Amino acid sequence: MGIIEIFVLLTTLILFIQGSFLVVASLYTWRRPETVTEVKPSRLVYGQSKTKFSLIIPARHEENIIKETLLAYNQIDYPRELLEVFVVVRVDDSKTTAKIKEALKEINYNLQLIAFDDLPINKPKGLNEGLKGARGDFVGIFDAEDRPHPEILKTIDFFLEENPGTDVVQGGVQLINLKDNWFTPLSCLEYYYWFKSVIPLLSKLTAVPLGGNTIFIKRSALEKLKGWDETILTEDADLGIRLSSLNYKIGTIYSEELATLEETPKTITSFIQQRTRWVQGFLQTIAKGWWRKQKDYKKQVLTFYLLSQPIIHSLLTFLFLLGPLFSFFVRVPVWLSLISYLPLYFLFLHWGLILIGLWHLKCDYQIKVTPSLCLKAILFYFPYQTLVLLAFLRAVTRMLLGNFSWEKTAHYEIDHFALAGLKE
Amino acid sequence: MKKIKKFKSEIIVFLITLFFTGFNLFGYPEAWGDEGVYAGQAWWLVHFGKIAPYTYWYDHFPLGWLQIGIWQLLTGGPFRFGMAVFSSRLFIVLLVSLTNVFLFKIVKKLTKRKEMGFLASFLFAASPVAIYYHRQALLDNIATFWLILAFWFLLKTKGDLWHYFLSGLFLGIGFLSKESTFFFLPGFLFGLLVTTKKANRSFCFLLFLTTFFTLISLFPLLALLKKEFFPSGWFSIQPHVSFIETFLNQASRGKNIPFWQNGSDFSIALPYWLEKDGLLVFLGFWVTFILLLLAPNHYWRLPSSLAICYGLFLIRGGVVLPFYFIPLIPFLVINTSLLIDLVFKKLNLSKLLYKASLAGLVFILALFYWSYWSESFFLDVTINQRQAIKYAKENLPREAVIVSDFAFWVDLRLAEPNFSNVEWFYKVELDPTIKQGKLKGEVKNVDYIILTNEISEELKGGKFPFVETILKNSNPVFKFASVKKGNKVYPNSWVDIYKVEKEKATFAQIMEK
Repeated sequence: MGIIEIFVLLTTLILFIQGSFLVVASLYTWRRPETVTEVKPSRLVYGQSKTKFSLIIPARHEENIIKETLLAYNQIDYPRELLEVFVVVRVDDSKTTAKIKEALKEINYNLQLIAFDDLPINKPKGLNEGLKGARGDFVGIFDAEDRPHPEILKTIDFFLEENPGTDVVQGGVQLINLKDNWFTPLSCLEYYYWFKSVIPLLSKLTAVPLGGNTIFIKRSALEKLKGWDETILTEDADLGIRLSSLNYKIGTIYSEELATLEETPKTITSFIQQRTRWVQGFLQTIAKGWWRKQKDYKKQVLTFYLLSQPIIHSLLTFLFLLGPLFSFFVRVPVWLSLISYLPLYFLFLHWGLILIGLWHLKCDYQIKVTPSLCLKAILFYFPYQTLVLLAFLRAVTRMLLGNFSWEKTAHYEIDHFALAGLKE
Repeated sequence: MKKIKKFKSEIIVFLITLFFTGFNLFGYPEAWGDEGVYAGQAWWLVHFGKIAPYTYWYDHFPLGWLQIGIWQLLTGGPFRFGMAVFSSRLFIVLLVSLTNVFLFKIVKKLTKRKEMGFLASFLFAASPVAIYYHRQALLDNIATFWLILAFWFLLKTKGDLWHYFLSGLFLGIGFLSKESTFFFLPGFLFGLLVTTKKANRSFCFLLFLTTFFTLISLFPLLALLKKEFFPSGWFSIQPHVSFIETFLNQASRGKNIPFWQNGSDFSIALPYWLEKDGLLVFLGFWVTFILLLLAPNHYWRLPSSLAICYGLFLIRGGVVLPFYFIPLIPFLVINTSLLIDLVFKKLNLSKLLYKASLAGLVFILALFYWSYWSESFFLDVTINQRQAIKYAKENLPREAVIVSDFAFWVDLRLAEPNFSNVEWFYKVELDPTIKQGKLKGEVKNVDYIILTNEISEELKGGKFPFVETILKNSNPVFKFASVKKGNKVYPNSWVDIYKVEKEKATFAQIMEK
């Protein structure tokens, strides 16, 4: 067997492993009819609320939306003595601060404004500043544009009561701006499968790179870990891996009604910037080496594999086309060509998942999904993967140049009236 | 020991099938050309790394004979058990026994009665039509194993995605083993509708269909990769075999007249099946339709639906060879057992009476099948084929050009002492590289022809003029007469060896020209 044959066989094997993982992870929640409801939190009976929550909202140049966001917290149905909210800004962000002060007059809960004046200027810094003042049992994180569901805290409280010993609860987040750009449907679907299926699987496997918001962490755990790492661009994923490595119990819930609705970046530039940050953050987390602290070899490998996903995914997607290309340009035995085509199976499955995912978004979030949108999602599959690849290359370049600056994702004002209509 | 106890019923079913199908396996029935084809192609694939000894023409995807080839490799070559066909037969019998294990589980699951599972398995193992076809090393038997496995996973699942993946995978492997499996697809889709729940239905369909269609796409893909997908002349001047041409050729095979008309392939095949086991064929046919109406739930309608889907293929009007019946056998058996179970449940028999009734049924069936069993267990109808091979090896020169049936082509070609110039009569007529290339279209370049009833029947159609000319210009050297038992003659058991008269042949061909 020559080098080319070995290369093709190895590539096929790698693609098979990666393809299988993606499909298994994406379908984990739907593996049996009864498991579909496993991720849904019970909301039928609420007992006496017990958990005290400290919610932290880091904000930076969010003057357009912060007041509306804070006013929306008035709707949260939870005993006020068990709720405190911290909105964290930097002292130089006077416009946001002014808007927060305006909101302070109209709110019905305990809101504290924290202003810091040192560096760095990034989200983990804001979170750590908020953590300093937090006195709740659990610390919840929301972004400045998020409008938490009024019942989210009651649901989490009940989940904690039902699942004693849980240290972290990751709630659902869903991107809903399917139609804003050619790449947005695919980005929204990534979130859908990630929060509804992949995260519950990772929680089972005890290796969870956490999401950036709608997350509730036991304060004592956070303090033990000294909060968020301010040097990491994906502080959420890093914290998740650290918590997993120390065997903290991470639970997940996903319910369409309770999911925090967000929007994916609308321009290619901001999309690539966001993805660049993710890739860089994951690479930083790998380099940090906490994955090696998982208790056994299998989990270490798994965690490393998970953290490598942005890299593997960026590089491998185009390799799915390698088989067909090889058979046209390189002379390999027919049996080998046949085998090298098999990973295309995962590509077909992926396209199927896109169509079914869009259908689910239509049914669960009442988002209008037209046949042309479905077609667009399939047709732009590879251009979308090109963006992901570009982000990866950019991340690597930035790493090599030693550039770890935080590129803030632009937030747009979501039509929350429309969203309110979507949710209930 | 505990594990053996756990699978006691399955082991019993396996052994019973092994007994009925395997006893006198090498003596009955006669080795057929198709069996030889697959035995030969299997060894060519695993040993020589070529899809077939002759030009591969996309008649089937090579997965079926790859499985036989792996068996040959594992057992130390194709001649481990005598004729090459015998080794393949042994593999098939093991596969059929496994098929019966899953059939037992299917009936047990549907009726919730182990005893009914045993009755179904007995029918599947002991029915004459089953014994006859299940002993033959045909791709249909391999495909049926995968088909039943696919059906089992469809039935056992409670909406588990993994099971739908396996079901699609096995159905796809079934297709790649023999393409006629495709005609069961509508029945499987009905099965998916019946067995899935709304919560994950779309994903079940996605996994099943993507897995199945990805696998079946390997067949045209193979042709594309070998640049033999399109007909000759489309993208190259060089003449070559073509997937599309073969497909069209296969699709138009047969007499293409309505199945109910005399002379249609179906009307010719039906008496074959009725003769072997009229009871099962007749009962199975009616029961299939009765069950559609009387079944207590959709799960019970699944085997009927599958039987009807395949039945529609059989009555489509195209070619129907008698062994096309093989994939239908398990479904007729399942349906018959289900109806018996339905009747017994209506009668509300006590447990003892129920068991006694089943035992009685088995006894009646045994009486009914007895004469056929004695034939299949004790008659040696392959003796002439074995003797002919022996005679040829002892008496014909090694370099002789021999035209032969494929039933023993591999034995003559590869088993020592071997003939390197033995050619299959089919290719002698139809493969230009053999007829025009090797034999230069001259009868005188052939030394011997080993004639069997199968070749003789083919020659009647007038499609083999060159082989006919060879025969006309030959004289018999040795004749092995048909096997007889009482008054019954087994017409497929005779073998004649003819020697070509070179001078006569040369003269005859010159005159013809």
